[in-house]
Amino acid sequence: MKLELGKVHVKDVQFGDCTKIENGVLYVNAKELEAEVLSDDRLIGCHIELARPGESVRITPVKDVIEPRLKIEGQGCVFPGVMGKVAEVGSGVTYCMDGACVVTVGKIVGFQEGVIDMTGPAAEYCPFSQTQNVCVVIEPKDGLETHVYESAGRMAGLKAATYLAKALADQTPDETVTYETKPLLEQVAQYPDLPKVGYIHMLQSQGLLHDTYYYGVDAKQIVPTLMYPTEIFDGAIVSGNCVAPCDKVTTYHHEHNPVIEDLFAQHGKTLNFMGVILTNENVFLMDKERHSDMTAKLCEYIGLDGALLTEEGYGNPDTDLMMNCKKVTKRGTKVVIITDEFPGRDGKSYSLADLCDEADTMISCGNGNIVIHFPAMDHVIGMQDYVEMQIGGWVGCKYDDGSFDAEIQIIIASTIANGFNKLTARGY
Amino acid sequence: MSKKIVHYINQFFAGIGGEEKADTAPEIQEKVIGPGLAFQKEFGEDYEIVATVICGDNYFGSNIEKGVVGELLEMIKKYEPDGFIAGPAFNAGRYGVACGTIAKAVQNELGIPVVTGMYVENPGADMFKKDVYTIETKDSSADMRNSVPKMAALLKKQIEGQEVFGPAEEGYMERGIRVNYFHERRGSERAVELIVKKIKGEEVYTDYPMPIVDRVAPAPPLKDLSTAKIALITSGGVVPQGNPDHIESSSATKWGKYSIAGMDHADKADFMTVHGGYDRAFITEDPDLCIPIDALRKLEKEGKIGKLMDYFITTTGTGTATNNAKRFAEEYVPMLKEDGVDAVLLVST
Amino acid sequence: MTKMYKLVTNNRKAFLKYENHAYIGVEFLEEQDYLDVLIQTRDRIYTGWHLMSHPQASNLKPNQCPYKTILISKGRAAEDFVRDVELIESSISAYHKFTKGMIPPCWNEKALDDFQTVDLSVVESAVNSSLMRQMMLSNM
Repeated sequence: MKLELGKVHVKDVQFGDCTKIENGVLYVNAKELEAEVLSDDRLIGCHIELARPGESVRITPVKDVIEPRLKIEGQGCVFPGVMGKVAEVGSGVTYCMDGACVVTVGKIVGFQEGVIDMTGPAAEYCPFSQTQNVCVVIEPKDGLETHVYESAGRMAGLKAATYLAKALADQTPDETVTYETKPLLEQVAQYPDLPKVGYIHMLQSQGLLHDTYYYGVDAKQIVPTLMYPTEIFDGAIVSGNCVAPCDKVTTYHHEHNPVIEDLFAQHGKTLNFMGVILTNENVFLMDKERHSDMTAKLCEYIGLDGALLTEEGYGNPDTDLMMNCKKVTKRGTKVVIITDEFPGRDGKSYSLADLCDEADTMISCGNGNIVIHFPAMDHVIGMQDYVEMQIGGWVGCKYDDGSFDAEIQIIIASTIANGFNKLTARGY
Repeated sequence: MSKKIVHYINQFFAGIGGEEKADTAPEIQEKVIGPGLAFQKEFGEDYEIVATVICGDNYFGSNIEKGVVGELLEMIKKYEPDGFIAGPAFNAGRYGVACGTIAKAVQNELGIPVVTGMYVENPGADMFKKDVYTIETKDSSADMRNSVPKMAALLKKQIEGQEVFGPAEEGYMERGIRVNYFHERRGSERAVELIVKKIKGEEVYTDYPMPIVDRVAPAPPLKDLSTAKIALITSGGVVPQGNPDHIESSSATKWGKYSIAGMDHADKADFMTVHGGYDRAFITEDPDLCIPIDALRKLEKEGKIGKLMDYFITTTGTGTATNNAKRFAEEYVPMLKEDGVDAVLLVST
Repeated sequence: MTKMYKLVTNNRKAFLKYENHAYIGVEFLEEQDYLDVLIQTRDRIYTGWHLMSHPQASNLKPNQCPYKTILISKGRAAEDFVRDVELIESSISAYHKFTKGMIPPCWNEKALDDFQTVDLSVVESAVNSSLMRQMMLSNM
C-alpha cells in the first residue's frame, strides 16, 4: 500500500470572505463554518476564533485537535466510516494542511479538559502552541445526555476539519512524502538483511470519554488486527478520548503518529518496517488476556524481530502495556516501550500502575505531576472558570489576576505517550 | 563574611577510639577535626567549618528514643550554620545510619542544605538516600580523597543556590525523584533507534528502570496443622525485661531469640516492648497482644496445633532497612529448619 | 440464590441500574469513598472472589474521580489469586500516591453526576463485553 502525502504549508490564519489558502495563509469564512457545525441540532451555539503562535491567548477546555486533510486520489475519504463511507484508505494521494489545526473547545462534561497556551511557560510543553489554530467553540443543547454530547462534540471538530480541508483541493503541495508498505512476503523480501520491526498501537477503549474509533467502529469491539501504516495518515483512527489531557492521543496525533513516521524514516536504512498491530485497552480482564495473547501471536506469526509498544492513558492501560510486553517478549519479539509517568506530587512513587521484568527498555515522555505556573493571558478562548475542576488543577490553584498553578497534566498532549514530544524524565 | 559549616563525625574519625569508645556521648568542639581538614581545604576561604559534632556510634543507635537527635540539633543550631556535612561513613553501618538520621533531621528542622556520603551497601544508604543528598563512596576511608571534593561541591552548590544536576554529574545516589527535561530528540525517534540496537544485541538504555520486586513464592500449605510445630516471630519489639541484647527501638540491626518454655502466657513481669513506632501502653500492660502465647497454648492444648516452639524470635520493624530484615531471616531460618519448625506465625504491629 | 457476579461500588447510578439484575448483584457502599471500594474489593478477593474488571479502569486518577465500581466474580477467574492481589494492592498504592499531598478539586453537582456516568460507562464496558455476556447467558 502506497500513499503520497502532499503537505501544503500554512504559516498564518485569518478570517476572510471565502475559505481558501493563498500564499501560505488560510482564510476562514467563519459564517459558513459555523453553519456547517450548527447543522447538528444537538448544538445550539458555535463561534469561531483564531489563535496563532506567540499570541497572549489561552484555549480551554479543549476536546480534540484535528489537522484538515483531503483525499485527492485513491479510494475512500479522510475519516472513513465517520465522515463518509466505510472504505479502505491509505493509498493514493492525500493533501494535508501542514501547520494549521481545528481545535474543538467548550464544556464537555461537568469536569473539564485541557489547556493550550499560545505563549509563556506552558507553551513549551504543548505541540499546539506552535500551530495556527481555528478554534470551534461549541455550546450544547440543555440537558443533553453525556454520551450524546460527547458524540456531538467529536463530530463538530471532524466536520470543521472536513469543511476546511476543501480549501486544499486547488493547492500545489510545498512538500511531498511517499510512504509504502508492501504485502507481507514482498516486504520481507525487499530488505531481507534488515531487522523486521513492527508497531503495536494500543487504542484507548475503556468507555465513555475513553474511546477510539477505527473506521468508525468503537475500538473495544475489535480483536487485535493488522493495519497498513498508511491507513492512519488518512484518518482511519479518530479520537473519542477526553480524560487526562496530557496523554490524550488527539486525532491530530493519530494523523501524525510519530512512531509510524520515525519507523518509515528508518525503513530500508536500519530496519524493515513490517506494519502496525492495532489492539485495545479493555477493562474486562479476560479481554486483556485474550488480546495480549493475540497480539503476541501476531508478532510471532508475521515474524517480527522487534516491536515498539505504545499506550494511551494511565492505570488500566499500564496492565495491557505490561501484559503485551511480557507475552510478546516471551514469544521471541524484542520490545521497546514508550510511556509517560505519574510518580505523584513529590516525584518519588512508582510511575506506572503495573510492571513486569521484560519492560527493561522504556522511553519516558515525562512526568505529568510536575506543577508549573500559568500566567494570565490577554484573551481566553472558551472559559477558564473551571480551572480548579480541570484535571491537574485543585481548589485554590487560581489567582485573582487570571493566572493559576497546575500540574502539566492539564496541558493538552504535554506528556503524550507515543514519543511525539522531546520531553522526558530521569531519576534525580 | 564566610559561610558557616558544621560537621558531624563519629568517635573513630574524631580520633577518640574504635569499638571500645563507641559509647562516647555527644560533644561539640569549635575546631576542624579529622576529615574536616580535607573539607576545609576543599571549601576554600569563603567557607568555615565552625564546629565539629562528635557522637559514638553505639551511643547514637541506642539513644534515638531518648532524644539524642534533639540533643545534637540543639548543639548544631547554636552556630546558625549555612550548611551541614555528616561523614562520610563509607561502609560503617551504624555510622552511616547515624549520618543519615542527623542529616535528615538538620535538613528538616533547621532548613539548611546538608550532604552525607557512604558506600552503596551501607544500610544507611538505603534508609536515607531518598531524603538527603548522599554521595556514593567506596567501601573504605581510602576513598576519602575522592569523596570529599564531591561532597563539598554539592553542599556549596546548594548553599549558593546553583542548579544541582543529576546523580551521574554530581555523584550522589539517585533519590528516586522523577525530574523532567527536554531531550534534543523526540521520544519516538529514540525508541526506533533503541529497538534496532536491542535486536542486534547491542547495549541499550532505559529512561525508567523498573523497580526490583523481591517476590517470595508462597510456601505450600501445611498438610496437618494438628501435628505441626509452630514458632512465633514478631517485628513488634517485644523483648525480655531489661532488653538484654540491646535491640534498637527503631532501625534495628539485630534480632533476638528468647525462651518461652513453660509459659502459659506472656507476662508483663517477663516482657517489655522497645518498639519506637507505636503507643507502647497496651503491649506493656499485656505482651500477649504482640506475642500471643496464651492463644497458642490454648490451641496446643486443644490439639489444633501440634506444638508451640519453646522460643520466639523478635526484632523491631520500624525504620529497619530491608537488607537488614533480609539478613535476619537468612540468619535464623536455618536454625528454625534444624529445630524442625513446620510453620511460623508472624506477628506485626 | 447468590449471584455469581457482583459490582462493588459507591456509585448510585451503578446501584440503581443493577440492583435488580438477573446475574449481577450489587454491594452498594453508600456514602463511602473510592478507597473504601478498593478495600472492600480486596477483602472480597481474600475470601474467594476474583477480579473481573481492572480496579484502575478509567484514566481518571483516584484524586480526580470520587466514584469507583469494580466487577468481581465468585466462580469465574481471569487471573490467578496472586495476580488479583497484585492488581488490587497496586490500585490501593496508586490511590495513596495520587492523594498524598494533593488537594482534591471541589466538584459541583453536575460534575459529580458526570463522574457517575463515566464510572458506570467504564464498568459497563466490562459487563457488556461479548465474553461476559456469553458467560452470563450460559450461566457460567
